[in-house]
Amino acid sequence: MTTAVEVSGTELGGNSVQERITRLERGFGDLDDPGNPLGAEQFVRADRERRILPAAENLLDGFGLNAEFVPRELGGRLEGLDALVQVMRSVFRRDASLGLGYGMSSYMSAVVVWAGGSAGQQRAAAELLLAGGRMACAYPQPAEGNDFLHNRFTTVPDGSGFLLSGRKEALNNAARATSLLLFAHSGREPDGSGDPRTEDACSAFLIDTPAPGTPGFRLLPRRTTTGTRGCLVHGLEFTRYRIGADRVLGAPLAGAGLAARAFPVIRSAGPSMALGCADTALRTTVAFARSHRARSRASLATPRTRTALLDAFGDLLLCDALALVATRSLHLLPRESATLGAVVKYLLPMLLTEMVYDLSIVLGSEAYARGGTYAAFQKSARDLPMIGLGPVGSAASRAAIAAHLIRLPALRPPTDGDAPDRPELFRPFGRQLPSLCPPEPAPPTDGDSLVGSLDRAVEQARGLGGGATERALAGYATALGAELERLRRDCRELVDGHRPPVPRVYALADRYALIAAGAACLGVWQHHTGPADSLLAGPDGAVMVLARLLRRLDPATPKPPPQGVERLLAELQRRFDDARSYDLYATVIGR
Amino acid sequence: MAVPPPCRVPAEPSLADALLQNRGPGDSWEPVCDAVDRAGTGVLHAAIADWLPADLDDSRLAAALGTDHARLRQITRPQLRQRFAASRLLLKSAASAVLGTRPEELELAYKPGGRPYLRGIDQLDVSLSHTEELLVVGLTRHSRVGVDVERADRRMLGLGTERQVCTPYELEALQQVPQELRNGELVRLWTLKEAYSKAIGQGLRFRFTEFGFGPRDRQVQMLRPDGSPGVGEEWSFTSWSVGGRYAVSAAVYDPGFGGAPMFRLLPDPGSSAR
Repeated sequence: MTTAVEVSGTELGGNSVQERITRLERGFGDLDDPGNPLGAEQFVRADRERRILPAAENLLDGFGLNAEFVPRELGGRLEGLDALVQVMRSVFRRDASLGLGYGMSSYMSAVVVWAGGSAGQQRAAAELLLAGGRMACAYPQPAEGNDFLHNRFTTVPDGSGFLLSGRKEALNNAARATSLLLFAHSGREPDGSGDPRTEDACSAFLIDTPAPGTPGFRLLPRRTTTGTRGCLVHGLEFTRYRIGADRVLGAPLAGAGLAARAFPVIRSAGPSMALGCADTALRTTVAFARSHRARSRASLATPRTRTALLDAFGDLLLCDALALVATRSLHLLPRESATLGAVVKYLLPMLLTEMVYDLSIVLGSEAYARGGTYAAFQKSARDLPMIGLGPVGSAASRAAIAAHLIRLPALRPPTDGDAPDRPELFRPFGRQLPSLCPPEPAPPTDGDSLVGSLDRAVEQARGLGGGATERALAGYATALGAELERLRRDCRELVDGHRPPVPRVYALADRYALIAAGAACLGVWQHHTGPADSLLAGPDGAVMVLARLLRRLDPATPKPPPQGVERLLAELQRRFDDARSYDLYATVIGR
Repeated sequence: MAVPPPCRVPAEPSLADALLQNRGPGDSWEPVCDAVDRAGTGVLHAAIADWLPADLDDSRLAAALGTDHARLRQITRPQLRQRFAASRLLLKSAASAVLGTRPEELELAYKPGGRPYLRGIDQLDVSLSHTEELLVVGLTRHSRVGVDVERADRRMLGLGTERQVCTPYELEALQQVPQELRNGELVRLWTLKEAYSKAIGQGLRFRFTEFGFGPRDRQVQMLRPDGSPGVGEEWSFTSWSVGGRYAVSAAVYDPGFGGAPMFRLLPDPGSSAR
């Protein structure tokens, strides 16, 4: 039988992505149905048992989820990164462990192979994934580490090949991956010999996972985590383990460059997928509020509950606007995608984690329930902090933003841009994108398309006229423009100064990330092509999102007008009743 | 299967075991830096009087307070102005000592719910509390910290407060506490609740009857209203007494990424303020 999945493998227009998502959502079924073997209660139980729900992995096997990670030219279905994020969001809505353990871990490896592997290595990785195999990866060690990011592998030359040594404490799927992608620093022999010029340069290796008991290889015991508890996280240890020269990915010692090409993709895509986890937390909270009588403190009739829900909805829309721009930038503005990926990786884990805490006041004691109707909430609250891997995980991204500000303090649009505001950047369901694979290494651009587009968006918002909401949007857009001017001034001062103090640059990076998110939100409003009555087309959505965002920059930001509040509240309830996602796509969930 | 040594085991404390005291801007920050390096968290108390600038209108205060200076100027009551200035100076000085930078390089900002944080410095979380003449600051290189201080003899019992503060489980447990210690126990529960609620950025928005804590003589654990476990081992809670006069509590969240002690922002020792 020819399934829709197979058909969609060859038809990759915007519609077929929707078809795939619809199929996947139908396959998962209703999250709230206690009788559904793939319902929320089953995922909560599997999480408690520290395993990934087998029925869910079977579903994804049948769906051929791995094909989503493989570029079309290699036989898969990967075309647009924003489409991949949407498909993966359906998985993360159910279970972050499933999203990471079934999917994202393999994709994090594969993306390096697509970026720099030989034709043979790419073919082999594609075949492995399309046959349902898994890949695990150990990225290069950052300057500061935690157990998930720290420790390193080193290699020394051995005849025509290499000897690999060292350990990593925590690798997702290390015990069940067919293939391992390892970044290893070039080290010295115990006697101190070795070329000091190449020391610390790293190479990427793509190897078959050694069988247990293979000399020089040791799988360390499973590591427990407080969130994404189903993930199979193990450490790996190599001791003078021999690797053939043909296992080097790309050129020897070119690992750092390869990682730099992969980072924009995974930094944009990972947190954007995990937004599905926060989406479930919000829907669970709305369900709780709706189940309470009007007189209850938890009901939607109380301002405290309404505010918490609308703030969370606004934060989700803001995060998704940024996710949209960052993932589409990989195709449309590849030279700016490193900065935008860093902004996503810096901001989304922080905002989404805070969002869940903000929602917990509505659920009260149910926010900690380990079982029952609302237990998916406490699971999301534990899973989301794992996505960003804590402050160390965001440090490299913050440093990338800081470098961007020091290099381009004026934050103007690039001089060589063909359209300063690039409408396609901001369009969910936008037209087919230029190929992602292989991303070419390119020098960074001389401008900032997203934040540079803000001046024009502010102008457009100010020219709106109309009622209270339009006036509010003009006001918020003006305030965002003023924040950008203040940022530009502070960046110039820093660059003019003798030596910018690091904490000041970091504070500017934080403000830049927030302003970039605001610019993404205004861009989505400005360039929206959907029905005139949709949330994104009118000013209400942007007003609510910006009001919330601006408070992060200036606590004295005025409250949004009642019309905006009512409109967003109506949308919140409509999407709940229709079982639609709380992101830019309003995806129909589970039916 | 045995848990390997690098794994975090539940018994590992995330909180510094001692509440530290600071005696003013001239005092050494070594104990605080040491606590943050060693245990990940430092909690300290100081007197407002020790941190009160001689002149609240001194222009140098604007540089020290940064964006908070505009807020200071909007505060009219002298006592509140003093406390605001002293608490921010203490917090920024402590954080800058731990980070190896100068207080004026740090921007103290506020989340939409009012929670203070160091903008752009997510490797160090901070919390602030005060009562009467006492200031308390919490600093952690784990993910989140919340601190609270109250007068130990603050009258709470018999005013109907316990019904607004305690879960049913806590109300029952409170009845087991000898009458003369009961008010103190209620104050301890209050500070634990405030500390947790501040750590998650909610302040008093989280209803205190929706979560509770176990009795004093056990390791502090958060419980649901029926006494079943609330948050997991990723949260740790500690209470202290300051000279029998004040009750202080701290809540710390550590998602368990493990890792190296916190790096300094500026490794150049010449750039350190103290």
